[in-house]
Formats: sequence, C-alpha cells, structure tokens
Amino acid sequence: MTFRDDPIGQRRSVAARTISRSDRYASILTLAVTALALTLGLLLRQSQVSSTVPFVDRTAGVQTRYPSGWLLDTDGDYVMRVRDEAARPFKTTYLIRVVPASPQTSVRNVLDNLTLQRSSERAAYQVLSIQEASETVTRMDFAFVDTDPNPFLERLPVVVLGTDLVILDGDRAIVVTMMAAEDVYTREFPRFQRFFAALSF
Amino acid sequence: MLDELDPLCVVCHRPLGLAPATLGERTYCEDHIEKVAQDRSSLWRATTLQLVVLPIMLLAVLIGSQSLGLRPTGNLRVPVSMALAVLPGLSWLVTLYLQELLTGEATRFLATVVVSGALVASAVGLPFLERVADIQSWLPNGSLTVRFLGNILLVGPTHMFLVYGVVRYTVMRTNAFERRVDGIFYAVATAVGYATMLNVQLAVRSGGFDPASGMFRVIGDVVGHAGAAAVLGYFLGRHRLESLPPWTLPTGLMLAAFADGILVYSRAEINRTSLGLARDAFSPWPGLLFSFILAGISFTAIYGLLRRINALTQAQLQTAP
Repeated sequence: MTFRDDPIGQRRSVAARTISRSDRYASILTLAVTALALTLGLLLRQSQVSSTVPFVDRTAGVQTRYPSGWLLDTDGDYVMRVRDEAARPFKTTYLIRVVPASPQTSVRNVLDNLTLQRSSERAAYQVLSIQEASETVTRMDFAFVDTDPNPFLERLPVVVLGTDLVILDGDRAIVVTMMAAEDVYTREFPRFQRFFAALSF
Repeated sequence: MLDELDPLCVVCHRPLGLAPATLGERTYCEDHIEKVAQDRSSLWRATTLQLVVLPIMLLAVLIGSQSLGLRPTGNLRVPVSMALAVLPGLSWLVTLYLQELLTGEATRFLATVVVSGALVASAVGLPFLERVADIQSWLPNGSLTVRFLGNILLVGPTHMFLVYGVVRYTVMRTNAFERRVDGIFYAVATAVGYATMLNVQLAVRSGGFDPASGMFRVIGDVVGHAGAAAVLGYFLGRHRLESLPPWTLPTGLMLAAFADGILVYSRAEINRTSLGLARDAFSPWPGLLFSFILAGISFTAIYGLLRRINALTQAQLQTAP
C-alpha cells in the first residue's frame, strides 16, 4: 500500500510530524513522574499497613487495628487488651470492652459502673471530666495512681491518665479505653485516636 | 502528496509555505497564529458565575432540608442523592455551554471530555484508589504526616493524571485545541465530569446521603477539582502550542496534583478536627470555604498568568516581520 492510498495513515503521519522530540520526552516524563508519585504513595501504604496489626473478634462483632509490637490479650473480661510492653514505668494500654445495655441504660449508667469498679481496684481513682465527644461518642477522662504490689520494690508510684470512649450500640455499650503514664499521655493520644478511628462494629 | 520537508501548522496540520508564522519552534498557518493568544471569555464568565451560583444552590438545599424538612427517605433517598450529586456539575457545564453559544465559540469536544472524565473516574480512578491503594483502610487512620503524604502522592496524582489523560488523548491533538486557554477549558470540563461521577458513586454506595451534609461535599469536590484542573490546563495549553522544555508538562501535572491533594487533605483535616474526640462541634463550612478559596486563588492566578503570556505573545506577533 502506498502513502497516497492510505488517507488515515497519511493523516496520522502528518499529525505525527507536528509532534516534536520535546513533546515525546514530555509525555514520557509525565508518565514517569506520575508513576514515581504513585509508587511512593503505595510504599507509604505498605509501611502504614505493616505498622499496625488487624484484630477481629467475630463473636463480639468488633474489628480494629492495633500498633504492631504491642502485646495482645483476649483472656480477660474484655474483648481485647493491647499493651506496649516497651513503655516504662507504666505500660500504655488500650482496652475494648462490650457491656450489655438495656433500652433504659444510659451512657451515664455505663460510666458510673466503670467508676465504681475502678475506684475499688485502683488507688486514688478520680474522674476528671465527662463530655460528649460527638453525637454518638461520650468521653470520660480519669486518673489513678499505679503502684507496685511488692512494697519492697524501689519504685515511685506513677500517675496514670486514662480516657474511656463509650458508644451505645443497640443492646450493648462499647467501651474503648486508653491508659498511659501522665508524661506520655498527650503524646500517645493521637495514636489512640487512630486506634479508635479504625474500630468498626 | 505532501512534501516531507514542508512545515505544517501545529493545529490544523496544513502544509505551510516557505516562511510560516512561528512561535518558538512551532509553526502555524495564518488562521491559527492569530488564535493562539486569544482568550475565551466565556470560560471565565461561567466560572465566576458558578462560584456565586453554587453557594446559593447549597443555601437552597440547606433551607429545603433543614427548615422545610424536605429529606428524602426510603426508595427516594438514592435517586434524590444522585440528582443532588449531578446538580453542581450539570449547572457548571450548562453555564459553560450557554456562554460558549452566546459568544459563538466551538464546543465540539465539551461533551466528549465531560463523559470521558466521568468514565475514567468510575472505571480507573475509584477502583485504583479503593482496591489497589485501598486508601480507606489506612489513610484516615494514619498520622498527620502520613495523611498529608498519602493525599499528595496517591490521591492528587491519580485524579489529575486521569484528567490529563482524557484531555491528552481526546482533544489535545485536534484542531479544536487552538488557543492556550483551551487547555484550561477542557481540563476544567473534564474535572467537573470526573468530580460529578465521584459524587454519584458516593450517593449510590452510601445508599443516599443527607441533602445538607451531602451537598457540602458535592459542591466542595466539584469546585476543588476544577480549581486544581485549571492549573493543569494552563500547562497543557502552553505545552501544546509553545516550545517548552520537556519538564514543563510534568511539573504542571505535579503542581495540579499537589493542589488537588492539598485540597482533599485539608478538607478532611478541617472536618476531622471538628469531629475529633476533644471537640464537641461539627461544621462542614470550613472545608467548603477552603475549597472555594483554593479554587478562587487557582483561577485568579491562572487568569493573570494567561493574560500576561497572551499579551506578550500578541506583542511579539505584532512586531514580527
């Protein structure tokens, strides 16, 4: 087939003559730069996904992601408890509990029960504030003093700050708790927010 | 038959004589050299009009849903949400089209780029971000830096590259793309189609949204993506019709992607702060306001830059022998 017999090919080749080498380099560079940005983004995703560990409890219908390297415990009266074993002198702890709730149960009832329970278990337990964090979440801040049961151990008691986030979900209340030493509480709180944001039920 | 050595018009590909008009290394026929530096006033009028009409539209929906209690329920919820998702984009495009008709401009490829923008959003943009990058599972839970980088490196580049792809592979090499401003015109139209499809998908997947809160997001998305696409369009227009170094176009794309990523990040961040555990109030207004401010800055800056470069070109052409 000759050039003259192929009008479409002719048009294409004519159009191609107006595309300079610089245009071709620009197209290739555009693809390359986009691919680079997306690759970096996917690497960021990989690093994020591997920095947290998924947790699923099908019985309680709860799932979340907790920081990798933290010790998971599901044997207590809670759905899950994770602790940062590297934290000293108090191991930063996240805890998820599911509490049965009747239609008459209010968030205040749930929080009062927690307060009664903790005040008998924790030294100098004190509620600091209760407030509605959003339409569905109620937040209670508290403090207590953590002491070692062994009186011969030379260790200062630690002031621990904690936060409960309570959500009423039909016939149950979900309580998500964070406890951390006073000096690391503020620094650790954003991570707890992410833990809470990853929670689905 | 064409002589292989004949210079061709970069727009219409017509063979030119021995001394064709040039702009850098690009050669033009007499018709098209006149058009390169012409403006498209209809684009700026339509854009300004929309930046006024969209808040009014939002207020109307707010009054309807909050004061008059017009909130669709049951089977009506999804169709009404879809209609609301389409409304801002449709309003923008109809205004653009009517302005074009009033000024007698050609709008041949307007529908093509809008539909293509919507299709790539649904077929490539959303599946990539949701299934491959899976942003919902990790991005909102990341630290401030991670959320920032995630939006700048993944979300913005995905949106803007697809807008670039649509303009690049539909209209850019045709003779409908004959002025610098055409880059902005087609990129903004594509972005409006793209953003509209994102919002329609949101309405369908979430089983419909509350009209008031949904409209904040819908209008914010359309305005924000259009503002970022204006930056991309400026570089597309210049790249197509001038001889620029090869790094100019990727730089323009990355600037647009950065603007788009910043927009998505900042809007989420403003709303996240309001919804934070330490706060007790939620207001979507700051996010929307930010979208309008970003779009306003983007369109104003691009308008100024374009006017300047067009004035320089016109002066250059007048002094040319």
